[in-house]
Amino acid sequence: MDPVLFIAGLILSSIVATIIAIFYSLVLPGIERKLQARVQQRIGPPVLTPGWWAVLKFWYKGKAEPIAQMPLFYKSLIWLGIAVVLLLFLFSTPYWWVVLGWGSVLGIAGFLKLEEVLYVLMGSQSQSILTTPMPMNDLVKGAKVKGVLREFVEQHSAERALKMMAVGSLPLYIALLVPFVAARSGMISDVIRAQNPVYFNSSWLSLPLPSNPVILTVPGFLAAVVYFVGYLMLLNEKPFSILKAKVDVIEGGVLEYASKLRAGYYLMRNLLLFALSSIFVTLFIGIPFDPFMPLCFILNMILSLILPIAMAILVAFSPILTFRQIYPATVGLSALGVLALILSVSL
Amino acid sequence: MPKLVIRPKHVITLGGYVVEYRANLPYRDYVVGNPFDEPVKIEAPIYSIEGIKALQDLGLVVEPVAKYDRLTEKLKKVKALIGSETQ
Repeated sequence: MDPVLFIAGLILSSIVATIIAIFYSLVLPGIERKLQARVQQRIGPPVLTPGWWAVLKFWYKGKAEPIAQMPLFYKSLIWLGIAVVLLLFLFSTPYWWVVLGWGSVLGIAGFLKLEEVLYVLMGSQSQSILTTPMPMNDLVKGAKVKGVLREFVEQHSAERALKMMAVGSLPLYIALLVPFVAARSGMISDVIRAQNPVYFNSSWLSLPLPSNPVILTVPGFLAAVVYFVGYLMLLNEKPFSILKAKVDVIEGGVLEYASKLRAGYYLMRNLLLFALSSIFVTLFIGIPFDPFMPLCFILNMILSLILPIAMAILVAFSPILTFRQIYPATVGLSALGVLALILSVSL
Repeated sequence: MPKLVIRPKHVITLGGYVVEYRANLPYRDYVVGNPFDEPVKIEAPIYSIEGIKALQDLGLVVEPVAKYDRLTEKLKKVKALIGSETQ
């Protein structure tokens, strides 16, 4: 293909995919919260409020300067986060499959890790007035314990984010490998070719359905379950929301984001909610998000409701696990993921 | 049973704390004001109309919000009733 034409197609497809992703991802939290409420026999908020109206409301508010060690850096983390999540999503769209090998397992895993690092950086930066050095131990005479570091609560959240990053999200990365192992390649295009060969020679108005989606195989289904729990961990949703548990770390590293920055944080979080489930549909069901094939990306969007709905139901029931429960859960899930990996070699 | 504390002279809405599909309350929401100079602890979530009566028995100002009422007006009304200076 002519390079100029390709670059034009790449830019156009990225713009179209970005606009659709942003609009759609701001509806997902409403669906999620409405489902959570119904499981708890409550009415719940209007569907557009947690996503759309919340972002617009915060965007409309006046400027609020966060208190952080390096405020400019702390503020830039939000915009960096949005860029990382957007690129993560774009890598799974067809035009990007051939760009520098980013449309591969490394591209996705790399950008997911980068997104996780942001929470560590946010936590170590934020110094909210709410948690002005919360003494780890009381400073009253006679109660003082020597040599104990007094830290902001957000730094405590950063330590938890580091643990979650190092251990917690391991299952998702193992599960992410399974479709690639089944396709014997690290590229997303080969994963689609293995599951949905019709896609590559269908017209723009057709709806190429996968002939053998990996989710319908035993290893694929096991990996899908592990991916789902890893999805919860990466989104820091209950029961794995220890790094922003209201009880002790209030909101974690994002506590100091207000007005436009909080709108950006909501956008980032909701985009990740959509990106991870769209990547799930692309890799495990074989229907890519192709901005130039309307029926294809609409089906991808509909199927990417599976994970948020399952998450909403689970979140409605679950408490917040501490690391004493998260570590065994991670080990067990990783073992299940490795089993799926081994079985997928035989596919 | 989880509890909720309303600070002195403060007003809250019960939205989100009512299990609507179990309680089947006659109103869409309730605005609750604490007229006292001390905090008051109330039961949450609210599962039935008895939960609302319990708030009234505690001496709190309970103002029902019907489907097409304006919540901001109700909040102002309850703030006036309890003589609250907060905005």
